[in-house]
Amino acid sequence: MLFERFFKTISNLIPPSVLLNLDALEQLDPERMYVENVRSVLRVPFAVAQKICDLGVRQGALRRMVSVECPDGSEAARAEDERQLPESVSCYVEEQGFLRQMEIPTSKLRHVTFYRLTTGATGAATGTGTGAGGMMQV
Amino acid sequence: MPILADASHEVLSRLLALFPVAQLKETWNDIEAEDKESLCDAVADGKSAAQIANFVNNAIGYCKQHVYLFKRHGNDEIHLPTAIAGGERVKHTPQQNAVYVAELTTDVVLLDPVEETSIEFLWPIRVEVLGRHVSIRVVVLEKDIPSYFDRRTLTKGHSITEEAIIDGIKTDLALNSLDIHKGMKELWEDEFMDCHLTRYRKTKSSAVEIVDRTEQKGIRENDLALFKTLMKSEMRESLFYIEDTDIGAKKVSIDPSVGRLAFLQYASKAGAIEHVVRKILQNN
Repeated sequence: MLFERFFKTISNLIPPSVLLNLDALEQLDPERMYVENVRSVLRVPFAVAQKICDLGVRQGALRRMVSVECPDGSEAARAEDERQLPESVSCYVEEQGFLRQMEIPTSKLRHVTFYRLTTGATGAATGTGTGAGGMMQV
Repeated sequence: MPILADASHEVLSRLLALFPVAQLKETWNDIEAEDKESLCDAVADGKSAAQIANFVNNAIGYCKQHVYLFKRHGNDEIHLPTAIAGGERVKHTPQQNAVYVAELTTDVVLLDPVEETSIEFLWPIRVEVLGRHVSIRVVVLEKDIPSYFDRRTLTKGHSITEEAIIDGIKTDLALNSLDIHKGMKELWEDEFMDCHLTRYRKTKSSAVEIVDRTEQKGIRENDLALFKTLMKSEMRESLFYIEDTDIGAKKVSIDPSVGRLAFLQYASKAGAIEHVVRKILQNN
C-alpha cells in the first residue's frame, strides 16, 4: 500500500517524456532518496531528477532534508533546514589504531541533501523520520 | 609576474620538483645533471621566469593533481581572473584556460632547540573552460617538511589552503557545483574503468567495499550484485582503475556528488587527465 501511493506520487511528478519503469521505482527508498537514486532509477539527466525532487517538495509530496556526514561517511545529524543543524556533532575518529568519539564543528563536515516522502503522501508513518521541522542528532 | 619572477632559487627548485623527471629532462635537454634535484637547481638558476611559466603550462598535465569540476552559470563569456587567492596568472588563452601560481608559506617549528621558521612553495593551478563546464586542476604538493631541514620539525600552519583557493575561483566565476555520478557510472559500465574501492550510502548507514589487492579485477567483474546496487546508489570517494592502458593514467579517485577527482600518480601522457575529465563530462 505504501509503495502504491509512493508510485502514484512519483508518477505524477515525472515529465511525460520519461518512460516510467515501475519495477525500477520500487528500488527507491521513500525514507531516503538522493537525487542520484532518482536519476539512476528513472535514467534521466541529473538536472531533470533534481527538478522532479524540487517539484515534489513544492507539491508537498516530498520533504527536503539536509544531513551532516562524519569523515567515515556515517550520518551525524539531519534536519529540514541547515539552520536547525547543531553547531557540532559527535563522530568516530581513528587515533593510533583505536576509535574514539570526537566533537567536530558541523561547518567542517559534508552537508548532503536528500528527500523523504511526506507522511501525508504515503498515508503511513515512515519509520525513524524526524517530525516536521524537527531535527534529529544521532 | 612578481611571484614567479621574484621567487628565490630554492622556491623555484621546489616548484620544478613537482614535475616528473622525464618531463624536466625532455624540456631542458641542454642541461646535464646527475639527478632530479640537481636538474631542478640548474633550471631554477639558469632559466627565466617566462621559460619556467611555459614549462609549468605545458607539463602540468603530467603532475599528481586534484581536479574540481563545476557547471557554468549561463552561457555568458567567461573572463578568467588575472589573480587568485594568494596567486597570480602566469599563462593564459583568453576565455579558454589559464595557469596560476599561488604562494604558500608553511610555518614550521624546529626542535632541539626550539626555533620558529617558515618555508615557501609555489603551487601550480590550471583553470579551464570546457563548454558549459569549468575544471580547476590543483597540483598535489608533496610537502615532506622534515626533509627540508636537518632537524625534527612540527608544522604550525599554512598561509593558504586548497579549499580557499577553490572557493575564491568558484565565487569569482559564479560557478555551481557539479554532480558527476552519471558520467562516472557510464564509464564504469562501458568498461573504461572498474572500481576497486568505494564508500556509498545505504538507507541507515554508509558502507565501504574494498576489493582485495590480490585481485586484478574490480567490482563490476567480481561482484555483479554489488555492481548493480552501486549503479543505483549515492556514492562517495571511489577508486577506479582505468582499464584502457593507452590513456596514460592508471587510477583515478572520484567523489562524484561534489565533482572532485584525484590523480595521485604521475600521468605518462600530457593529455591523459584531460581525456578522463572530458569523457566524464561527455557522459554526464
